[in-house]
Amino acid sequence: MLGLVNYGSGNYQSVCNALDFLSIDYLEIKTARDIANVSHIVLPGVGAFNDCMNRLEGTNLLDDLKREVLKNKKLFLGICVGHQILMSWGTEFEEKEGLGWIPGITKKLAPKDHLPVPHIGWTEVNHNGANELFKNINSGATFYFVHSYHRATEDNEDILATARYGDDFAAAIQRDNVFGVQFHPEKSQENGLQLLKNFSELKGI
Amino acid sequence: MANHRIIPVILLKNGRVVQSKNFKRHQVLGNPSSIVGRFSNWNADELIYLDISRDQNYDLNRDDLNFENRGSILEIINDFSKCSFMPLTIGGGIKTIKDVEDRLRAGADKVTINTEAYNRPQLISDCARICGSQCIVVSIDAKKVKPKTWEVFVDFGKKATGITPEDWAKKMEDMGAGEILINSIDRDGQGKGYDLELINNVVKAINLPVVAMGGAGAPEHFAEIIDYASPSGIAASNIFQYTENAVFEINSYLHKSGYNVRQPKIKSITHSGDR
Repeated sequence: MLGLVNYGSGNYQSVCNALDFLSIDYLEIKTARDIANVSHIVLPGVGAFNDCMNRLEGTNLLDDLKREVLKNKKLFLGICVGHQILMSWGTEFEEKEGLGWIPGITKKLAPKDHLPVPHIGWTEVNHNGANELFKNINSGATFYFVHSYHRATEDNEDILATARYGDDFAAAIQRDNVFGVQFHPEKSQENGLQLLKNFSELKGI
Repeated sequence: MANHRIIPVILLKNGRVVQSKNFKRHQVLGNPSSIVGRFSNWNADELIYLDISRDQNYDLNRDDLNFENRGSILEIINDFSKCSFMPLTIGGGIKTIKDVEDRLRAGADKVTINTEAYNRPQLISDCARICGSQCIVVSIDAKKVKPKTWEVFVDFGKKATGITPEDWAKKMEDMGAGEILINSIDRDGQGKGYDLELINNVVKAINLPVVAMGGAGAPEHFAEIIDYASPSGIAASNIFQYTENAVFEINSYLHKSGYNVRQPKIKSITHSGDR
């Protein structure tokens, strides 16, 4: 069973709609007990890093989330800001410590050629076809992005897919059972729905 | 590089989809649910839904067509986002942070604010801080008042502000807006093409994505504005209502001509949006 963390994120309902459409059963995660009852966890996210992190801290779910994801290795997918707060540090509006489950900090996009920020629109996502998260999705398929910050790190090890907006940046990352996507699969039409379906079908580690 | 977005705009007045001409005439076209379903099936890049009702009456009142009566814009957003998995921007009558949050929670991805941004610019920075800049679009209605001079109008294009669109766009960028929708009052409903200079001026003035609106009557007009000003999004209303498969046709035309747009595709998600 898939669980969707409801901590007041703006795109919670959109992710629900996508899962409903796909006929994927899911549970709204509001309490620690809910987390124990699921095998897959999705953390939606939209808005600012610090606001999202504050909201998540306000739920009192963090200790349980950490245990189930880091110790019990439940499959985890963070979407947009839900993916950014996987990093150790956020710099939007004010500096804020993130979950630190995947190395890196978030930095404001500074694309060359003076491209406007935020990056809004459908951009090609390139991957090597090896990961189950991108099963039946061509490399170069477009996904919907809307963000001003991105993951910045020297370490390319955890990068699953990249996109180019002036410069290349991490569009999807993975470390063990923890996945994050910078784009919005719940708003990316058939490619996004396929990705959500793929995540729900991943087998645990 | 993000592709240029082709964005149908649906104008809603008292629960009916309407066509607009020079911000004055509004002709009723039909029911929002069926029209929204059509765009969803056509793989539009994004959809903007502007409520231009003067009162809070959203009763669709079409029992003859088996549509349920809908109590509010929130229910319309809700209906839309259950059958459509693409970005949705909602505008019209937004005055408070709560209005913004309600719309986002119902399934909108962005909101667009026009008159209230002028009355109370602080609203834009408050919303940006809480919801994130990326979901706050400021829409600007501008009219040419002298050769090479444009002025911002608010209150459905009725009230002059004495401000140029460039200055206003810059101010809104500083306040935390994440995108600017620039609409030409003169070109509204004319079908003669975009106001190239107006849009170019705004694109040049700021470092935010700009969506151009007002005047599209043919696929060539989309190419023309990309060539002249390269806005991030190109929005239009009437052309999408009157032309069969217009999203696909325009997208195909641009793609074939080598423009940086998403590969055209007709209907991919098999779900009936036409309820």
